[in-house]
Amino acid sequence: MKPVKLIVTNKSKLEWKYGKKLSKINSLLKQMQAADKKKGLDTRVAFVDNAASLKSAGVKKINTDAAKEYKRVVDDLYKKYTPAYIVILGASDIVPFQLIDNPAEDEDATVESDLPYACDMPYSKNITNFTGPTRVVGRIPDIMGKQDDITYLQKVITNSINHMPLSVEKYYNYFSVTALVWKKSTELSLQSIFGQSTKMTSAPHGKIPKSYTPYSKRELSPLTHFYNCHGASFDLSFYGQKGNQYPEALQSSNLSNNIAPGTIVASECCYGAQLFDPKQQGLPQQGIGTNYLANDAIAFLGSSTIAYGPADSQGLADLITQFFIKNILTGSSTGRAFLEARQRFLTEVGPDLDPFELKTIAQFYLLGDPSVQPAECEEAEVVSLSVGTAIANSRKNLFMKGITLAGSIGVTKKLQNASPLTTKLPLSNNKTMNADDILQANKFNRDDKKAVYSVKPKATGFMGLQKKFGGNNVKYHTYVQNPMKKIKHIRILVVKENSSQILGWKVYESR
Amino acid sequence: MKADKLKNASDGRVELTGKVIQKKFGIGSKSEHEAIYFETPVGVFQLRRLGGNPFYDQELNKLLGKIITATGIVNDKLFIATTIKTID
Repeated sequence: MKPVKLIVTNKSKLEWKYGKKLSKINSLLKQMQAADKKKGLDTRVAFVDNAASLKSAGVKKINTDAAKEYKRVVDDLYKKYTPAYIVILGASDIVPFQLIDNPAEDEDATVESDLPYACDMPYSKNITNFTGPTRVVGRIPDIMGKQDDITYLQKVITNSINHMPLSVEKYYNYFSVTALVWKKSTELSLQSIFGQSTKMTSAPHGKIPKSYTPYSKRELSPLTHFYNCHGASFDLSFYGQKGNQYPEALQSSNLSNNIAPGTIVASECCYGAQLFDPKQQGLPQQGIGTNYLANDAIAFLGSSTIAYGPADSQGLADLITQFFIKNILTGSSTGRAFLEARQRFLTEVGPDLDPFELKTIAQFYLLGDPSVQPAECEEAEVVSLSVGTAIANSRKNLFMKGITLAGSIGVTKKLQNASPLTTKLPLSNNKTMNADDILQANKFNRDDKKAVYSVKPKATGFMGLQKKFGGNNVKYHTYVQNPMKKIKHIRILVVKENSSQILGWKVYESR
Repeated sequence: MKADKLKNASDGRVELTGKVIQKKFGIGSKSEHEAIYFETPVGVFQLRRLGGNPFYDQELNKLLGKIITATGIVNDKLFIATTIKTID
């Protein structure tokens, strides 16, 4: 049996957006099905709002235009076909993101996410229900709002059809921009991925420029792009930082006709992959994520919302983006590379996740066809009839990893009453550190905004052992420095404790 | 008029009057910065100019503490201004 690639979209919304040109989209999808067939994939198109299209799967169409219904249809289709790849076709005005309640206390009320589509748990807005991703999911976006033509979709789908795996060496050639203040962290990421960081450039690079200097086509020619910069919502640029200056690090317009076919992109930036209607926002063009795909990139991994990471070390956005690229470099498809990145992230930061780790897993999504395999190498996931069983085995392994994670990652919940941090951190010389010592060591104080989160372990039958490993009754105490105070370097301090002692702390960011 | 109804204005643009203030945005995040906010009767919005630098906009900084009337686009808690007039 051939592995199934399931394309999920919404017919009436495509019709609303493209009018009579919907027929051209249908033709494009048929081209994709034919091309996939040659690669050994059985590609099926499911219109979630069309009973006839779902009839053979025995799945009922959406009852209402609600995220819950989209999730239900995707889950039912998954049970029927157990596809190797789920492709969401269209931006969020065709197939909505699942809105997750933001576990971190910041400006985002909710987090636009495709993670629930990748999990076997039923619809929920609670991120703690989605800590066991098992499915390969990616989104082929289009431009938000009504469109005059199908040029964008045509380009993205055609590029996906035409891409043939390239030599992995080509993906070791990278283009990377970091905000100057995060240089250390970006160097660590690049060294972890490529073994060196010599090609990294910073923004600003030298003096603060008076205006943006575009990168040349030659500078942008490497096939892997990595950004660790500032980003803003409904905006067309990424930004660097030096002190209080935020020069542009990349303009979306710079991408036009300058990106090499097959390019993959990972962006740590806040709102780096946000989808929006440029016309509605009065903007002259698309955001960076969708514009990369319009200019021959085949994958863009980025965040929908405010993202986090430490300035001088590794964590959160640093990890999920670098895991993604590392997996591409071992020959994974983009979708599998992302699923494995999510699973590795959860494995490394779990089993107890703080609110910022939970937000990270929700907010990153993949733009582009998840079945595309950018690079070939010896261990490659070659999609052909002869290795159909290999894909099935690989999928089974990923499924089992996801199920294990879902059963082991604890449930993090904010406590209404922020209990005081009274336990102590034991040190090697019989000394201890209390909460005040830790706050002082990190230049925080008790006046900083505080919240407490408890982590309830899943009932796995190993409760006794888990307790012995210090994993039971875990709480996170978060301190956020007062936003009205003009302190230059403000950070979030997360202190982890169990019922008897402080287990350690982490500081996110120092910008 | 509630903030969530602002989006429904016919041309997508709304006009609001309020005070320009400053506070931190995205504390501890990859976008933390001193942002400009717009304190209006229907809510407090992060204020940006269309095409302006979202992290540091000298023109908006000049308006700190002033009362303005601004026309623009509202996205949840963000106000992207297309025109700004200073009152008094």
